[in-house]
Amino acid sequence: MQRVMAFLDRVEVAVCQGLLLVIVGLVFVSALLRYVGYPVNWTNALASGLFVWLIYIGADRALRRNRHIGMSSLVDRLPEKARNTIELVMTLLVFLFLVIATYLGVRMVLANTKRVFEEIFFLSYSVIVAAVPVGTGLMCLTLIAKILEKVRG
Amino acid sequence: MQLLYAALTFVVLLLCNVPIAFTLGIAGMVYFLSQTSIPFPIVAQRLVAGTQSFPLLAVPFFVLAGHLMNVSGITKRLIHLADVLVGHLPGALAQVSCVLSMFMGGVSGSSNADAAMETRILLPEMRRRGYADGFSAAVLACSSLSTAIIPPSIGLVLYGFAGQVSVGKLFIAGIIPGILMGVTMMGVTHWKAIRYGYDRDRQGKRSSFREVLSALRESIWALLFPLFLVTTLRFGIFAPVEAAAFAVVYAFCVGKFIHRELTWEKFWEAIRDAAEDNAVIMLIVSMAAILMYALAYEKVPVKMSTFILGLTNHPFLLMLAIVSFLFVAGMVMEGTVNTLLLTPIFLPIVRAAGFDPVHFGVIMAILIQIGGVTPPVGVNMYTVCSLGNIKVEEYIRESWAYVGALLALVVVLILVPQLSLALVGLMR
Repeated sequence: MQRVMAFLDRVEVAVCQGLLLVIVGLVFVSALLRYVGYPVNWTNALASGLFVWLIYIGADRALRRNRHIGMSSLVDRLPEKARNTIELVMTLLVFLFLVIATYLGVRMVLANTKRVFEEIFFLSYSVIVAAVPVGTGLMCLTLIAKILEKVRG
Repeated sequence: MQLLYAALTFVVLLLCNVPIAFTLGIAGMVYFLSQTSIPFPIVAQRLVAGTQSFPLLAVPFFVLAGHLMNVSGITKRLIHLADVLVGHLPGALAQVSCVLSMFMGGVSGSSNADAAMETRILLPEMRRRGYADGFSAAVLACSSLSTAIIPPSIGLVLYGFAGQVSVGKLFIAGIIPGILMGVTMMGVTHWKAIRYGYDRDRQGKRSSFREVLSALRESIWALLFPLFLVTTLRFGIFAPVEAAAFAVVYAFCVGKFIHRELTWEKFWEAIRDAAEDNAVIMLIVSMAAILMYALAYEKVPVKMSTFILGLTNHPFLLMLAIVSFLFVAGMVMEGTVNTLLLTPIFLPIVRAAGFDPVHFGVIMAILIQIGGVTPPVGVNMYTVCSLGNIKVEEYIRESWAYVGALLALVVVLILVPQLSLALVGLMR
């Protein structure tokens, strides 16, 4: 499990780095072209589309590293046992939410296969919105790994 | 009624330390489950739609530019410049922190990143010189706020997104208020430092004109960027997002070819960290889109504005009520969420009362920033206190003077809209 997670982490880092560079590049080149008088309209739309992937893949990595901010001030004051119980219940609740979001995301992908993204003829809308189920699905895996880790101590 | 369920879920989950992004998502889902007149699958569409606004791309770009500046040696040179300029004053390092935050404001858009960076670099030296930990934490956290108002500013990008206001105008409007925030912080610091007698021995050892000039020459690339940004926005050459993409390329070129400090390893690390910071901010934006839809569907902004305008239509009483509400909201809630959920509610009200949306944006952004340094929930406060292992109680004892001064400044900015709008008027 740990080895799988470490591998996933490396892949996600590489994907995020690649996406961020491409998005910066698209906007930069598009601005330059517009400045010299050759406006291109699909670059910024594509950058926005890839942005969803950057967010949802990055969000999984942030979840693995406990980077998503919460408000711990109340929970911190509770005795350890109560704190652990709350943490477990809440993790299961978030897991349930992510499972539903993944299910809805898959349905959204299937419903949009014919729709074209922002007049970019070769790109189906599905490819863009697939970021949501892929991201939430990965986050489900991350939470399972976290819970297993906790149970094993 | 359905909104009440959502609000209840929101509060309970928040108190149970569920990450804010998921709290928003679950509360939104609870609304859609109980409100049967909207098809449930819309939830997934909202998650995508919440991110599909072109100006939002400025968020990862400015975050990345900030990371690149740190590893390009730009930050280091700005610290030196700040030290040369104010290092002879009482409470020298505290003053350096105030001035550095203003310089960083011109290249970075996040006060929390600035607070973290300054704490790592300045706090050890502050301790060595015998500053009380509470004082150091207060000045590091509070002075960082000007970073988020001096353009570029991530908070103003989010306000522009939530309220459909021009980000370019908001940036220009933030210049003078941001600088005034920095100056206000310097004033409070000066008063405190004299009272506590910090750095008595160094007093009066002013740097020579030559030293100032050489420090200026060293940091010229960092100082040129905000000028470039403001000029391109002023003449409408670039949209804020395009300028942000330029900021990334600019920081890269300065680090690689001029300072020659940027290695490929540091470069990839900066991109990795920026992607993660961006995901933390943007997952909140994406998840908040579900609730934003619910608020609009329930016509909350219209109902709220009819209700509040029914109580009073005196513009300044109205503004006072909203400002007090935002201050309290900032104390108990994280800033991104406040911006996204409260902007659509309050903006129509202040608009109806005759305030300019750009003017209100600056006021709101400052109040939300103040929320970052006030207990019980203050992101900047926790960043500084946890990095420095400082008790929050010690921090609070020293920080109220800073918060009070900032609130006084907010009142001035409300009463004198020209401080925000005069430069915007010069546009176009």
